[in-house]
Amino acid sequence: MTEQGTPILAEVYRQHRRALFGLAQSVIGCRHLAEDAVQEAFARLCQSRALGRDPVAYVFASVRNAAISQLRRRNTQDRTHQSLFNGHSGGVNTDDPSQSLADRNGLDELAAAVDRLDGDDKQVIVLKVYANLTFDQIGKILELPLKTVASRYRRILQRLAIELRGRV
Amino acid sequence: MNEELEKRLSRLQMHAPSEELDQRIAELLREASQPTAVCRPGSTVQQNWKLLCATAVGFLVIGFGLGLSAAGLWPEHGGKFQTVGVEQKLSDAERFENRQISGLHLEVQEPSTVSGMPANERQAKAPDDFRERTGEPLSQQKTTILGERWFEGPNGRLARGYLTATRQRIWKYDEQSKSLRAHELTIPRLVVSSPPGI
Repeated sequence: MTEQGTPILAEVYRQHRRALFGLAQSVIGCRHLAEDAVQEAFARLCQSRALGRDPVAYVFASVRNAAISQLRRRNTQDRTHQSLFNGHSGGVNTDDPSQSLADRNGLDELAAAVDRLDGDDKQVIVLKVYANLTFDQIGKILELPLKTVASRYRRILQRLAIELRGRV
Repeated sequence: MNEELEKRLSRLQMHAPSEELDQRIAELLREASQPTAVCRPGSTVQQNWKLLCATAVGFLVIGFGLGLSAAGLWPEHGGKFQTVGVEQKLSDAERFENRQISGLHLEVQEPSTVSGMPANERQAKAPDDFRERTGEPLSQQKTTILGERWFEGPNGRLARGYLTATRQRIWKYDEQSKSLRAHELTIPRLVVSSPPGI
């Protein structure tokens, strides 16, 4: 990493640390290993010479690759799936007093439904909703065409809506 | 419908990485931002090149030596050993035995007859004005294996032998000069051993 690239890397981590960690966890399923993957990715990034034209997408792609490497090193039968979200029942932000009990229950159901998605779909949700990346950036990270990413995202939302029909 | 779902998704809060990870990342970034003026070890590629060059030079030197040896230009001892006034060439017939090479007279005295050695306990007590010289052994020897030889006995049994040279240094007390004097001997030996399985 050049001395000029380090502040960019630091800024990307500061802005997207939660989403980077969430992306790694959506690949691996385990928070502890996800942290290892993020650290491994940043160790590599610090040694590399360039961050590419889109540093944000580059860092996310690096974290995803490190998480996939972590997953390959692990025993696949030993996979754990911890929730992506905060809290006991899926991570509702209970600090907001305006939320009614039904609303909170609906969010719990939504969090559980997202947790039940497969790894690739969870990654799309994390990158689009929580990292606020464009479909173009997500396509670069997941190595998929832009249209494929956009249509996959719509399908995921439809599936979630069907699953939560009557509650949401 | 999708917009509403997106809004609800955005209200969910993902787990944050631990403070420990934040510290580890901060440390990585701090190390990466250090000025690189200090001398760093060469890259793996450079190290591989150095290793490759060293290996190539080694092979060239060995090949050159083998070439000289094949051409008969390389000096060979051929079983000759420089001893104290004695030079003997070993013949193959004499080597199939673990023995000291005959014809050599060694000037090594038995420990019981070394001059100056006390004969009894009373004499062994050093006088008060006698100072022991520590750190200087009275004898020292070093054996060097010079080469390996294979031998075949009358019954066709194979044995491996080694030509060795033992360099022995003995300090004796010289009555005339009243001091210790070193005597050096070189003892060539042919040691025949039968390796297991043969």
